[in-house]
Amino acid sequence: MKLKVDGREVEIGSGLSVKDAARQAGIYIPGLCDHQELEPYGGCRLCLVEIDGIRGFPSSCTTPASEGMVIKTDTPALKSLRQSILEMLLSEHPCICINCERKGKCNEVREAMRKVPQTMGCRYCPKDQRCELQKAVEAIGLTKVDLLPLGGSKEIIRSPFFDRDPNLCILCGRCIRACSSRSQAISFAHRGFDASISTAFDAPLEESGCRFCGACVDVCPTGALVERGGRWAGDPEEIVVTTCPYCSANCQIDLEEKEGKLIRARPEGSKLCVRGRFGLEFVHRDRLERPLVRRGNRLVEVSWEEALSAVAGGLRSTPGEQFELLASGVLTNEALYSAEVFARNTMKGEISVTDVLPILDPGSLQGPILAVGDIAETVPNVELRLREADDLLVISPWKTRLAEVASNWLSPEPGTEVKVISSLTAALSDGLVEGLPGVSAEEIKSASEALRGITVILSPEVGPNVVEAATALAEAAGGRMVRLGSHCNSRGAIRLGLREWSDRRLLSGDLKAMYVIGANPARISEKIRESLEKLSFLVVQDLFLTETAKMADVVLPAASFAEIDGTFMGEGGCILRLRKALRPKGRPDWQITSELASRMGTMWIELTSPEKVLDDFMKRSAKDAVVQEHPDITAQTKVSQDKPFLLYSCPSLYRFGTGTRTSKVSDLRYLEESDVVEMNPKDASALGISLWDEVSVQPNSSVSRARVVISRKVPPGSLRWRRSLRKAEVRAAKVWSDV
Amino acid sequence: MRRIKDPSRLEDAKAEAKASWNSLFCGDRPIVCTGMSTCGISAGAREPRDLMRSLLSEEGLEAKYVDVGCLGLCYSEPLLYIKKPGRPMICYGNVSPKTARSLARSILINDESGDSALGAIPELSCGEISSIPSIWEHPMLKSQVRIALKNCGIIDPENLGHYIARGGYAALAKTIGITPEAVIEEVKTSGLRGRGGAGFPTGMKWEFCRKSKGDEKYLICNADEGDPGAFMDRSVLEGDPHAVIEGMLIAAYAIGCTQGFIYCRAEYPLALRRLEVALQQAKDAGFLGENILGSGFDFDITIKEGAGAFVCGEETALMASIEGKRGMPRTRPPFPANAGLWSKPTNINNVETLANLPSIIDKGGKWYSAFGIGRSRGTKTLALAGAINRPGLIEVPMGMNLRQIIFDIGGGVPGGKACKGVLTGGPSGGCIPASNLDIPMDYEAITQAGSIVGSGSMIVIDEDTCIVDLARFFLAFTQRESCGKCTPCRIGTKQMLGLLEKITQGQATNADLAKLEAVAQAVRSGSLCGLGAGSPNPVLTSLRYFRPEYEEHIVHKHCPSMACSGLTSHSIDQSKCKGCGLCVEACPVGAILGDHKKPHRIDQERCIKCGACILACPGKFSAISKRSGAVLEVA
Repeated sequence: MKLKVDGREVEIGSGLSVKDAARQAGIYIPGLCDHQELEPYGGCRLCLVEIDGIRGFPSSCTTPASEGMVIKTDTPALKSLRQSILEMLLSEHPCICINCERKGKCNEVREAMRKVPQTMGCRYCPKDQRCELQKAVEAIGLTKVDLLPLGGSKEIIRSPFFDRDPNLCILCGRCIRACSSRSQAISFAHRGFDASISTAFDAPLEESGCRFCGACVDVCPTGALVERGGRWAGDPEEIVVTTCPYCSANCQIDLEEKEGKLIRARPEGSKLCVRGRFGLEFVHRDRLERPLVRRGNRLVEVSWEEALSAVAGGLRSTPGEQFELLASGVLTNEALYSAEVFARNTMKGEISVTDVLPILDPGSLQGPILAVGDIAETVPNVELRLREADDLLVISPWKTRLAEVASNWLSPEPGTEVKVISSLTAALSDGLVEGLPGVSAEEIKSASEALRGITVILSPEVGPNVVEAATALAEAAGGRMVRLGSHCNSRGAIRLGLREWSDRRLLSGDLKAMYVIGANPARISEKIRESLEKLSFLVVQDLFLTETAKMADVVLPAASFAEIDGTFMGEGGCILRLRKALRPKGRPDWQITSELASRMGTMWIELTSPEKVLDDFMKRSAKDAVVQEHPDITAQTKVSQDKPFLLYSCPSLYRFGTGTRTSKVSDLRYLEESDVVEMNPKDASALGISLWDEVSVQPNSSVSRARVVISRKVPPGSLRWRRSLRKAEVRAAKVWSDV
Repeated sequence: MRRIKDPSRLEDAKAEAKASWNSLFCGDRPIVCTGMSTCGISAGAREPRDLMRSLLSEEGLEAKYVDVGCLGLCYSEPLLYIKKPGRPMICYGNVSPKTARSLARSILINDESGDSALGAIPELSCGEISSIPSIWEHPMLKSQVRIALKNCGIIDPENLGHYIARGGYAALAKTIGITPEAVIEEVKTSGLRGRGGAGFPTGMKWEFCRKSKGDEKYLICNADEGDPGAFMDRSVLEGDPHAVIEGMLIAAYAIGCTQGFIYCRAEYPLALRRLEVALQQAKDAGFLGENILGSGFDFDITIKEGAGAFVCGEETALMASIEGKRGMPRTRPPFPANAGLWSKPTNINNVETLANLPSIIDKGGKWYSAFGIGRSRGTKTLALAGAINRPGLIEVPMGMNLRQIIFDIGGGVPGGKACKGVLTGGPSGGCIPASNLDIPMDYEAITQAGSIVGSGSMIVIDEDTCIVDLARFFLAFTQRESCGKCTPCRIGTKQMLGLLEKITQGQATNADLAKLEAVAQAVRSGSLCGLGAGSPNPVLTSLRYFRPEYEEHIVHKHCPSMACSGLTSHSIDQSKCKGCGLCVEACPVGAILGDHKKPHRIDQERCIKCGACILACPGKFSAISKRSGAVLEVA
């Protein structure tokens, strides 16, 4: 359609607003509540325009553009109206710097001004120069604020990762709209001048369903929401687009770097979860910078040369069949390939990887969907996509986030999901319907009627029985099954044909030496720890001195994801780049292993650059790719009568894998400091347990400690154990309180 | 009532209802009707009614008791109508337990002496009312034309038979016999405009919604009446709920809606209860639900209670509230007619608009449009309040001038005080000065005068009301009720309020007055919805008509009405004070100092200006006076 903006003819597509039309005509209209990723709102009233034939001053962000419109954006009336409205906004916003007579002469005291506990003006504000309100003041040309000062001194609310300063809030509602498709943790409260943005009953964010994805922080136009890390860092010197090093969603991230530090991570065209947004500060925490070699009981710092010879020396004498290299699904393609070549060619031994179950990617999500498992905790970004699905069936014993929005939620007793899935298959193929504990025959019947062409989506933690049942269901329904990957590069590992690690050989004492890269097996169980101790030679290559590294003979510091160029394999086999943003603390994994290979005399190929490695990787993986049988990782044990609780261990958003990296981020640690068991209020009161009490959980012979969270989402008689390990297991357990 | 399956059966039902109406009002038992709307109940109507019942039953007399709605003579509540066998129904005002006793006695001895009172109600009398003046000759009722209020105070609102006996649901039967387009045409002919405040032509609004594409359409009755001093909708809902339901049915049929909502504020418990009763009756009788009167037309109504936010009277906020969201307005387009409740085409009408419809359909659009002037046709209900002798609810043809309304119907200002003006349209309206009262009550004239007709509240102010303080009062209201969405309303009203407070406290300068005007203009032009855009009206109209009063406050620190406590002081005339000490005892803060038998003085620092001392000072001395603007007294 054609229309005119300030006399300029523009031709635009349909479905656009007047503001979009002006933008296309190259005309800037100020606005603070409007945001390209959010629904239009029309609240700030700065983008008002005049349109022939429309009474008054409509807001351009909410008014749909239509054929033949004649729009004026810059009349004297509009100018003065915008100035008045902006002046009103500033009358309740700390703005002494706007009225200051010595504007811009305060640079040398800036550091001191930051120490003022309350933001009084732009120069006191962490958002200075990045603030959209500041830009609006410039664009509208407001030079002084001459109204009654209305700003108060409301308390700044501290939350994990970011602070909320209501004194700087202009109530544009962007944060609420950003949150509405994610967590709905915040909304408007109160009326009139007291209107504010709040959680329900002003509870802390961590008790309001907030998942700290930071979307609110990203859209906040002022300093009301500012991340604490990098608060005063200002603008970055460099922004590097890279790939998130956590789950298999492979979100793209803008890493903002300044003075060699990672100051901020922001989403690059995607939605991030707490891990990608706030969970990357591990790159600066407790990093290993120099290699360590065991001298007696101590690990001492040595040179790379010394460390590499120690490894070469230690491994040279190890027969291939007594060696295993354990890698991890967080490593790059290059690291995995180089490690594989080292393990198989140099050592003639085995290589396996933690967390590489066969993955099937979600692709485009259409038609009915069945979700099983705690996807919100494992692959949050996929969960956000599923929330928008029209026809979503959820099978979960608990009221997960997806269960809350699902069109149908079947809640079987914990541990009987497999039966429900099988019943659905039976209902579909044979018309046999039978009720199960927690799910009636009718529910099965009506759910089975809407299954044609279904996409079954499994969270990574579900057990093999569930996978089997889901495969059968997808087949019977003429649909497909999607198995979400657990780690950022699980796909790469599978493409290389690497096996899932089994602790069998280690526990049976068949191994003499192990080389562990990026994994922390000691954390998994006490038995593994003991077996690791018995090894005669253990090499650990990691970012940190992990529990496993502490037992090692040689520890090699690796470079983190932010310090290397490299690749992950993304959805559908696409290659996603990691780009170097920081000076490396250790060395890239691929470089270490290829260096070792050449030291040990198997220079069969020249691995000199990541591109070269990737090239080889692609050649190799294309022909060798094999889909493996998944090993039996979980077993459902029958619940005997004398054990009171059914323990269901679940993944947690705030802890990833063995928690090596997430535990380095203080606020992630705060959110899930210890293992947590969720318990039904009835059970809790029967046991006399209250919130945050520490209890002992005994799922087998070993006893673990956990804190109790009381939740109605868990049925009586069961426990949800959110713990560091990713695998879901169901087993009976005893619980008691020491108090 | 039995289910009425087709329009012809409605005639039978009407005949039946009429017969029982006649047997009630023409029977040989005395009848006691009590005005039992919220106004009557809060004036204490229950006590005389119950007393009368117990007195009569003690004497073994079985009278009949009917609770009716509000007749509109709120000033003389509680109202009791009494009909002795063979005599007309007579309306008594200001009934106290004492008058109830004497009325009971007069019934027992069938005495005619009490027959004067306010007048006879012909509708409830059986046959001639002869020598007794009709209630409709009462000065407050004489020049009224009651269409929306035709049943209020006449029928028992909880009795469907009464409504049908008075011709109720005949319009529905007529409606379903003609095409929806014909119904819309009739409403267009009537010239009816939205009575909620905006005055948009109702027929046109319906047509937009009818033509809008959608598989499902909604009809909403806006009963979220929130203007201070407005009680038109409440009285209609409490006095004649079926008229609103019938109006909704007519609108739904014309537009093609299958689901209706009545959004009524929770602060109207009685209206809600009567609506619930009426809805159930209508469902049982086959006026609501599926296949209404055998026509194949389906329509049902759900009540949604508002949670006390003024802004929810704004249609888009109201719809958000029904959807379970926070009541916040949104910009238009899209208009509700295209994308309203749950994004479906939606039509919203106010209670009074809907209550007019049965009569319009029944008697024709032409008949309705014969009332009124210019582009404002028909009648308008008005709530008279403030400094007026006869506050109450009235319905007058549009175009009647304000002076007639205030003085002829409302009886003028009490206490011999001068009328200063009248506030129309509630907090979004303005104050029309006494000098300008000859303008007609129609949308255009009132808007031209700087105010709005609004929902119909009329608050009369006398010389004791300070115009600045009044503007401050209304700003405090709109500020409190702003939803906080848009900047001009949320902050602009706070600025205006702050500046008005400065003026009433004598701290303002001329620059502040200019600032006030500038902010007011920006709020008017920049706000998102009517609440914000209308909020500067009390300021802007009062500046237009009463600017000298503002300037008096600013320049001379003087409040001519002596209402602004920041600008008044109490002082003791040293020559008149005899030092009796009565004022010392009366003063709640101990601000009066002085030795016995010697002239006292007031410590201005402590004085809270409550005026207790003036009341305490013996009339023969009259030593204490309230002053404004003068230099504070020194001892």
